Formats: sequence, structure tokens, C-alpha cells
Amino acid sequence: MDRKWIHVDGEKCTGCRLCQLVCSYHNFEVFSESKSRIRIFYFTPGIDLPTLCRHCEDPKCLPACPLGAISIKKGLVVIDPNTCDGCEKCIHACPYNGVFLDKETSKAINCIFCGQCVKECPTGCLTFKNGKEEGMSVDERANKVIEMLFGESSNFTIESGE
Amino acid sequence: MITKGYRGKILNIDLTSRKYQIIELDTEKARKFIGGKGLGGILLFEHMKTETDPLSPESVIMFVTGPLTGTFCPSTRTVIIGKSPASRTFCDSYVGGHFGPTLKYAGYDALCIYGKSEEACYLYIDDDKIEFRPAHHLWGKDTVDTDHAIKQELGRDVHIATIGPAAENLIQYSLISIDVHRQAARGGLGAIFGSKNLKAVAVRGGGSIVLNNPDQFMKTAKKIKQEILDSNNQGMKTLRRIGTGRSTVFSSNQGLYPTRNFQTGTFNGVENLSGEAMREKFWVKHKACFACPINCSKFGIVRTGKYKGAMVEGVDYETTTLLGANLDIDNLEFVVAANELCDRLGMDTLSVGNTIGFVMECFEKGIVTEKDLDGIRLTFGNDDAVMKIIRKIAYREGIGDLLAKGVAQVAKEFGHGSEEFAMHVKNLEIPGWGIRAAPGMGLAYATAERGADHERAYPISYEVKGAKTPDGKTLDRYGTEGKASVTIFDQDMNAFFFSAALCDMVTGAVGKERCIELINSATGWNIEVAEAQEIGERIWNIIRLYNVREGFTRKDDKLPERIFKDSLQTGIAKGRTLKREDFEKMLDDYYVLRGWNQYGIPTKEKCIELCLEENYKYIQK
Repeated sequence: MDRKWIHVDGEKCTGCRLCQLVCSYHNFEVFSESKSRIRIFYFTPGIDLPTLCRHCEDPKCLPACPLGAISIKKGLVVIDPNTCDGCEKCIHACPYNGVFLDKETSKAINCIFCGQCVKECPTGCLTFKNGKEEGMSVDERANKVIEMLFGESSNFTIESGE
Repeated sequence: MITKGYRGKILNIDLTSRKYQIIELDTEKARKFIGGKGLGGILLFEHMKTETDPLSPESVIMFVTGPLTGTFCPSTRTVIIGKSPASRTFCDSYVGGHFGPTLKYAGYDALCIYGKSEEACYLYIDDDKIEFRPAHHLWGKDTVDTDHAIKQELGRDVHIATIGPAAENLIQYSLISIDVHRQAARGGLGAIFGSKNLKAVAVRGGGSIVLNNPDQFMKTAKKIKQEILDSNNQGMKTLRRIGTGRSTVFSSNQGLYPTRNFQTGTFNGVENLSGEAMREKFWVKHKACFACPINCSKFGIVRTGKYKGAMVEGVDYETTTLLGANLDIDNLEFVVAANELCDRLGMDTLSVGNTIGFVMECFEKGIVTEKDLDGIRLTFGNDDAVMKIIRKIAYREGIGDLLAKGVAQVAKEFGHGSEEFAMHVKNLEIPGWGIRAAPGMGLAYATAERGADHERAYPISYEVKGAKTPDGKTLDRYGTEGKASVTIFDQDMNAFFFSAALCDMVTGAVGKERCIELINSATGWNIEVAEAQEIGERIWNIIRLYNVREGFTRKDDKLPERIFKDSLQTGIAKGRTLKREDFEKMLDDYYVLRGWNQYGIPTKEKCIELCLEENYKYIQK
């Protein structure tokens, strides 16, 4: 599908979590990790990886929901909070760590593609890109970044950071 | 009713009885002292009896957040507060990272830990679920391994404050490590954990911070963020590019870079320890604290040589001075490896470097020999010897047992006049800014609440960098005029900022007006801009009252003899000492302007003015 998607450049994330903060503010008017539709996973040594819903065309979360709370609308995977009972089956079914639990309401939440995180990312780690990329688990992605930064073939350069 | 911006609760934990209590945050107290440093200051004053041994069960260790912690406001920190085992004063040690925000998400503005666990344990806080968990399997492990082990037990989304072997062994400058890469290093607060048989605290938080006016708050916070990222903002641009390493060459050029145990203030090898050198040879990745767009932190790995594989987030400017120039070592790879070793064992790089530099000078002067140092030739420049000594300190092996007590005690033991060049104030080792090339810095060190400290006031801005004083004047670098006034201004202003609790890297970018604006839109209060300085002054004074109650007065607000006797041998300030009468003059001015008496004790009038009358009663004798 010729459409913009949120692309994550793993090695550029500094772990600042401004994406999470603007997400929970924009969607729920509070500051909260639990109410953020994007999450950061930390890996040793020094790697932070943002993960969010990839809005798969054939999402694993959809059939996993026993209540039918998940549907696809206009190309986006949508979770109906009124139907969701927080059983977390969708969270475990997602191979990309893209669905999360809002602990205050016990409802599953995912990216609604508002783009606020991209707007506020200070390093260019999150960008809009045309076309979807190959799906990868968060562990696979972390290994890729670790190889890129620390591996044998790494040329050990640092982004300008300015 | 809970004031917005806060979570409205304090978690009190008693390790002796393994019980906990959740109490309401006193709103009036919060309005008076804000949070962070201020709230911690009043809590320590009220909850620690006079002359409590910091390593006894009666001693309390606190994690305190502020109303801005955990929000979109750039770089808000957490402060760990207790009575310092080193200086035995009030001690506040700041950390970035995610522990504080997560504590707030879990529902608590502060966590206060009392008592002593019978067996090694660690705490697990998951919102309102509090667990005392066994830590026998973690005791003895370094900070990195402990962090990994706990994350394996509880999941990788917990945030962890832990100690290393040094704090278990009650080393006087042991630290508390946050998620491996952030260290609450100064003042030896880690030893308080160790004395309580407390290995770590792990926290997970699923709650939210609700603000009074979130839209107004975001507008201001986003504007600050944009200004930080503005490509015309040269200062921030450099900080984002090379972190605190931006100060290295400047410092040496200005004769401020402690070298060979503060014998001088310029270092020939300074270029090798600069931010640019680290960027060239060492860093692979930018890192940031919570909500901070600056990313002044950098992660790196040593790629060649005998220290290959050493990894650290840093090296911070201060560490390049004390573990580099102060030991006469310009080998960046060594500084990285020594920094990593100190972090893993859980010791403050500054106090370690200061103490070892002192022993090196004693070795040079023949005050000690190899025989006194377990056969180690601890000469300036000997990096292998330093690596050996660091391990000995952490495990209190041989000579390490003495060095673990800090430079003041070591000097007492060594004698032969070495006390004169033991570089500490109130038993806390002096950090990485010299005094003789910036005399105001001497006043800042002498009057800082936790002993020698460079973050409370930084007169170098006015003396060396030419910043205008708040009343628009330019100060004579080496004179005494105006030094007390700017020191007080910085101390009070920072006391306010550190209560919010902002990082000192963003206080300039945020500014007083917008910090107040953010607090007001978060809480719904109407604090006037003019009130910021007064709140800061109140905080500074409550902490001074605590220290006075502990017996600290003018007699303790002093500097090492070297500053008065040994002139700088090189650089822009060559030949300079700090004249004793100049120091006394600055101190006199300081007390007068503070409204304290000649012994450095706040007067009753001052305390009434600052609404600290109740607290003043405790020091009347």
C-alpha cells in the first residue's frame, strides 16, 4: 500500500521517552508510560528500542481476541476499549511487541497513528516513511542494532547529535 | 485533596519490621518546599534525630521527586537524600534516568527507607504492591550484574537502584547506581543501603501524572524543547555534540583543571581527554536522561589496547579530571576502564581519583613507600597500579581498608604534614574545578551543604566566563568583591530548581520564569516569579539549620591549606594562591548577606522571615 508508516531507526534512539510522554498527553491528557501507545525496550549494552503497532495487514492480535474487540479500519488495527476486557491475549499474540496494557483501565492499547511521536522525536529516530518494512521481533531488532554499533563490521562512528 | 503534578503520597518502608506505610503528602509542605531537594531537606530535618549515625538503622535514605519529574519538561531528575557517611552533613545526590519518573508513575512522590533488614534483601515496588525479596544471591555482585539479575527476575521494564560491593563494604564514597548508567555518586549514600542490608530497589509504575492545565504546560515545555534543539543555540549544540567534555580544554586553558593532586591547574595531555577525543575514538551512541532532548550523555566502547572492551556511558568531564589529570594520566582508554570499574564496584569516581591522587603525592614525597601500599608503586601516571588500588578499596583489602575512609582520614593516618594537601571540604573530596584560578569557587566549596561541591554554585561563570551578575555587574576575576553575592544567588536559585527537580544542564534553558510557569500549570498554584528566590533561600536555610544542629558552623566552612600556601605552577593563573584574608573576607560577606551570625548560624530574624521559626527552636541552646 502506498502510504506513510512510522519508521524506527533503532540506533538513533537515546532513550529519552519524549515520544511516550507526548503520546500519553495527546491521547489521555496525562503523563504516563502505561498510557503510552509506544514503548521503549532497553537492551544491554546501551540500546533503547521504540516499539509500536505496525498495523499488519494480517494481524496476529485480531484472531487472538476472544471478544472480537480488534478490527481493521481504514488500514489501521483498532482496539475497541468498550469491548476489550484486558485479557492480554492480543499482547502475547503480537510478534512485534506492538500492543500494550493500560494498567489503570486494564484495556489493551495500540498506536492510533496520530504521528505526535514522530513530531516530537528529537533525534530523527522516528520518521514517516513510504511503505511498510519487514516485521521483526524486538529481540531481533536489538541484535541488529548491537551488531551495527559494536559488531566486527562496525566502523564505530557516532551520529552528529546536534 | 491531591495537588496535581504530584501523586500525593509518600511511601515509608521499615526494613526492620518489614512493614510499610503510605502517608499523604503534606500539601502545605509541598507548597513551601516544592519537592526534590527542598522536600527532602525538611523531611530529613524532621525525621532524623540529631547526631544519628548515618550507618545505623535509625538513619533514613530517601528518593524524592518533584512536581515536574516524569513530565514532558526536559530532564527532570530524582534526588537521593540522607545524612552523608562521608561529611556527616545533609547530603543530596542527583540522578537522571528513569527511576524517579517510574516511582511517580507507581504513585509516590517520595520513598523513605528506615530500619535494617536482618538478612540481605531488595525491595520491589509495583504500584501498590510492595515486596521484601531475598538478596543473598545478589550480595557481592557488581552493579551491572545485579541490575541484570533483577531484570531477569522481574522483567525488563522495571527500573532499579542498586549498590555494588563497595557499598556492601560500607566504603565512605560508595554510590547508588540507577539502571547501570546513572550514578548518585557523591557523599557515600550507597553505604547507607549497605548498612541496612538493602541491595536494591526495583520499581514499576502503571499510573499517571495528572496536571492542572496540561495544554498550557505542554505549550511551555515544547517551547523549551524547541529552543534547546534550535540550530542557532551554540551552547546546546556543543553540549549535544560532545556532552560535558565541552569543558575540558577550556578548564585547562583557564588553570582550573585539577592536575597531579591539585598541584596545578593545567594538563599537558588535556586534548586526549577532551570531548572531541572521545567522539573520535570512543563513542558509538548518544544517550539521554528521561524526557531530555539534549542527549549530553554518550555511550562508548574501547576498541584497542589493553583496555579493549571497556564500556561506559561517559566519560563525564569531572571524571576526566580526577581519574585522568589528577593522576597525571592522559590515556583515555584507561580513564574509561577505571570509570567502568568504579561504576561496577559502586564507587564515586571523583572521590576515588582525589584520594588516589593524594596517595600518589605522598608516595612522591616519600611520606609512604611501596611497603605501606601492599607492594604497589602508586606513582603518578601508573595506570596499572590505579586499577589494582581501586579493587583493593572496594573490597577493603590491605591498604584499601584505609583508603576506603576518604582522603581526610588517610591524611590523618599518613601525617607528616600531608593534611595540608588532602583536598577535601568537610571530608568530601573536592571535584574537578580548581580554586586558585577562580577564588569564588573556594567560597562555593566551603559553603556547600554536603561538603566540596560544584553544582550548588558555580562562580566560575562570573569570574572566568564573564557572565553578568544578577544586578548587571562584571566581576574582577581574582578579587573578593561581589563573590559572596553571586554564590548566594546561585545556591538559592539552584535550590529552587533542584526542588522541581531540574537537571543543572537544563536550568539555564528553562529559566526561572518558565520553571515557575511549569510548576503553576502543573499544580494550579500561583507562585510569583519573585518567590522562586525566596523558596530557594528557605530551602538553603532549612538545610543549614540541619547542619548547624549537627554541629557544623564557621569552623567547618574551610578549605585545604594547599589553596592558601602552594601557588599554581603553570598556566594563566601561574603563581597564584588564594589569600587567606581574601577567603575570610568572602566568608564574612557571605554570612552577612545570608543574614547569619559571624559563626555561620542563621539568625532568629532570618528564620522568622523564611517561615522557619519552628525549626529554629531546635538549634537554640
